[in-house]
Amino acid sequence: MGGFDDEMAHHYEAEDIDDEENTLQNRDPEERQQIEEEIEDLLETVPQLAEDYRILDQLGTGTFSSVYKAIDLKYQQMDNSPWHGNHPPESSAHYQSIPLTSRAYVAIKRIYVTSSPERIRNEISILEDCRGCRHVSQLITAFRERDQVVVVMPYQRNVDFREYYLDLTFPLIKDYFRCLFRALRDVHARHIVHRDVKPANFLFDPKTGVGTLCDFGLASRIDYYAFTGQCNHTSPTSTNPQPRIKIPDELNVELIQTMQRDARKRSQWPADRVGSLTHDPRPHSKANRAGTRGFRAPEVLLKCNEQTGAIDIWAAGIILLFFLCGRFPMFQSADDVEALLEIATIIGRKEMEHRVIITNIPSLQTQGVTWSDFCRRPNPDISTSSPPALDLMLDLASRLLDPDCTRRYSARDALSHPWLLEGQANDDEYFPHPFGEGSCGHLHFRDIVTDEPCAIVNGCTVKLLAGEGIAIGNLPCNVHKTVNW
Amino acid sequence: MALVQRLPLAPRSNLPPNKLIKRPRSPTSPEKPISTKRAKTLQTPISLNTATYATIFPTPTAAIPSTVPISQEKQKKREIREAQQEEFRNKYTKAFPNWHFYFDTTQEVKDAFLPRIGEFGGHHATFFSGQTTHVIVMHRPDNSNKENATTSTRRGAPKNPFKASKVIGDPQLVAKATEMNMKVWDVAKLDSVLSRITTQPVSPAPPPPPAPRLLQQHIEAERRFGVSERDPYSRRPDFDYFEKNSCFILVEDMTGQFAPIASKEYPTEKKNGKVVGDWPVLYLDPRSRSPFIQYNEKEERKRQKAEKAEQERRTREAIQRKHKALQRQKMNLRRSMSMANIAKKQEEFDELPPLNADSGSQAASGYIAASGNSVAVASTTGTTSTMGLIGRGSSLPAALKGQIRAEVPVARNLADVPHRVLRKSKSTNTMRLPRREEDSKPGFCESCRHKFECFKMHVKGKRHQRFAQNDANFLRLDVVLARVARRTLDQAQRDQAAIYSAGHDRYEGDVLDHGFHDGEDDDENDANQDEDEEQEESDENSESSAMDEDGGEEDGDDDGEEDEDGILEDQNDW
Repeated sequence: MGGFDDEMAHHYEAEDIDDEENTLQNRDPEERQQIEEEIEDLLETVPQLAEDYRILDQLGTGTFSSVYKAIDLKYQQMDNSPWHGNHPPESSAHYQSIPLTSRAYVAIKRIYVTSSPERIRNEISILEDCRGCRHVSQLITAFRERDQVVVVMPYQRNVDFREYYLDLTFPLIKDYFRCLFRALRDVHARHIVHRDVKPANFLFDPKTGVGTLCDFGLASRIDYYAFTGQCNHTSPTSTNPQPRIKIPDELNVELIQTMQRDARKRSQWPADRVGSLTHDPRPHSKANRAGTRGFRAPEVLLKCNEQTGAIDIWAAGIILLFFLCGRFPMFQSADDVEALLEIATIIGRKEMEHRVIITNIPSLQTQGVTWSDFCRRPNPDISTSSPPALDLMLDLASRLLDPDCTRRYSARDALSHPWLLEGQANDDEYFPHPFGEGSCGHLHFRDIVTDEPCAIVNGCTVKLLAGEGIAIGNLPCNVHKTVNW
Repeated sequence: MALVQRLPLAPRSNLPPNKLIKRPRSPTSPEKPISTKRAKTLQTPISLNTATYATIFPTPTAAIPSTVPISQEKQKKREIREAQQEEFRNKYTKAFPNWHFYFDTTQEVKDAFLPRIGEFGGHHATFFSGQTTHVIVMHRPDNSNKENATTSTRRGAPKNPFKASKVIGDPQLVAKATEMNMKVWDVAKLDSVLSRITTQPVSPAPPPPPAPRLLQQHIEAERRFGVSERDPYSRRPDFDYFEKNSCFILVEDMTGQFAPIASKEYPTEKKNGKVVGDWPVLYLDPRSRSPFIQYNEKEERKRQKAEKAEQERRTREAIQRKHKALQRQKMNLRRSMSMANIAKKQEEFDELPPLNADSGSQAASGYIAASGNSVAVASTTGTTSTMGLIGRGSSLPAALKGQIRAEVPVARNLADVPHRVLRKSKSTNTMRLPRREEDSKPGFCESCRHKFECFKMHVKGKRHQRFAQNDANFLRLDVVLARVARRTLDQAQRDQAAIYSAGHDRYEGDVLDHGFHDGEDDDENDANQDEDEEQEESDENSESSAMDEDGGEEDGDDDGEEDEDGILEDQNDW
């Protein structure tokens, strides 16, 4: 029987591939024509694309780019090791490292020419640094024809979130989040924040349980130097990225209490007595708010300017809520202030009080509901008898959605949470270290002038490509594994 | 500004007219001998200013015989210290009204200090002139000025946000100021002087350190909300107020350094004696599509509509799938699994070995084999539940609800699975894509910093083409692109060979591999280099993050419509 199953599976694999090639033919004629025109336009703009790739279909369009499916015609002639990485067979990301024997499908991202070169440079250099990250869309290459830049990444088969979020089984939900948190762990370890974690940017294939974090168009590097310590948590640093709440000695407790008292008093006043300076001479808090409404963490909405990977963790927590509540989308806000109000009505206004909040909106309670109640109350059935995993999932949700970014779980914490850890080896074993870290980290450095990654091999300096020289777990990197150093 | 005329909190009585002094100086008379050595023996823990203070007011503390019991000695020291502080305070408060401060700092720093200087009658020199007595810089570039010699060195971990700044005073200005005998103080020095003359006369219990900060906050608060004597409840002409009877939210920054963070108001209505408005309310109604939606007739209609659409879609897909399957003649479906059976399987899911993403589809098939059926992956097919909202009658979480009621053709092997996953309109492959409107849409070009009405017109236009054709505009991008260019296997093999030959040469040339040592050195140098580069990088990022501000991808997740306001706000930033 097993043999037959395997055969069938294999058969279908081949058929899937046919499917992949012919998706455009399955579209309705009007849409098909439109996409064909766009492909033609792309090939006209970037003629060298045709040498290496055969564009098949469009995968999606966004605010800043559109993405096409293509076959990489030169895959077999190219050195693919830098983006394949070196994930061991036990790692969930091993599939990323397996050289393709059949057709190599790729996703070609056409970044709209109205994006500034600097924004594009930021995205590509971040993708370059994310080579070797698990479950992160890998940069194969990128090139430019005049103002048109295209980025080539492996194609990841996926299904639209709306199609499966109600029906995904517990084990697959678990896979979903294992992949997501491994991706976030690896990205955050590189001091990069994705900023736009949401189902549309996490390509998940329910058939295989494999997910891939993509679209780093809004990603940014954590700018530890810009942190000034004005929040009531300590500034994260590159060596200690998780901030903590300041101890009373460091905080002006008296001031905070005065301000909070004052705010509560003013909240009672009639609306026409509460106001602020028409022309406030003070600067506006400059906080990066790039991202998607509904997924923005409280500290983003409150314009804290010391944001870290914790904002991605919040967004991941929101995705977990979709599964738990069986609702998507869930937030309705029309703007950021309303988004803040939505969160405040759930968690209670007290949890938001590291800013001064003056409000008389009746739906805002001082104490909110727990995330567990938030998920259970609209689903009365689950409260009566719930599988053990559900309690663990609710527990994890409350830790991912901690309004206080200093207490919120890190991606690594999430991976060691009982729900996700169950049956898994310690994630550290498969963690791809950032370049220059790990067991052979001391033998790696970046060229002073060109910023290229280098390695010391037998006392000689060797130039590497981004993605090479990544140490995994306790093991040395691929360069130092094969060479006797 | 009003607060300059306010009565100072600290006593400023019996000020001498100071007519004689043309350009007032620091109270330290130059002829007083200054002994840093002796001063150092005075080990008072008064934070920042100990050194300065001791330098300016050398005391005979050192002469106290060491035989004196410690507590006594301490007591004495404290008395002396307090006396000194008192003296310091008197001298500086007297001198302050004659001083003119010129700020070579950021605007925020200036704004923060001006009220404090005004407090003691000091003046703000808008322009650098002969009248200026003190030049305030972010950091002292060197120790040329004697008075500053001991203060300019960095002290401990800065609590003061100003100190995080890397800005150093304009060297020309500093030189000029020194030449003209002006005092050049850094921000820390000014802060410490102000703090020390601000504190109330020292009582036996030392004042808590946040006191000066509190005062500053107080002044700031007054600037915003009016002098505390004034009734804060009364309306001010320079304020914007919320509409009468509205419901509002105003979010302010705790430190008072920033303008209000957010504000919004909602008009209200009275319905059945209850105040209602459009603000978010948490209903958590099991029958609604969202926890923020109230369940009513309208919502019920929407829900039914959605249910119908979903049902139709699923039926349509089922037919398509069936059709396809028949066509392919690859049927191995076992359609006869009973509902009860499926439901039972659901309970087991949690006990099943977790499906590891490990080796992709192989792991998946392994898992299916273990479970004995493929409900896990085949589950959505033919599900009749709608958005999964109503009457999901089992005790399972939402995620599993659909499966139970699903009339799933369940197969034993993977055969029918791809159909589900890859079936039309399910996979993003074949999903109907929203028509790309980029071509005709108005927008903003970051490269040209230009708002356009039509994408196509703009990018083909002269202005944009001039930008596009100039490689210089893409220099930094090209550096990155060069690094990620593909290399052929041949090239790679040549490079690889170079690695090995490098290693080989080394072995041949030298038996003892001291290269390792070199490597470590290199590494260290490089670590520093990395740091510098990171800094450079981050400076740029701050630029780009300003650019990013609000530039987010604002696909509202409910309707997929693009949110314009983000982009518009973005434009305002330019």
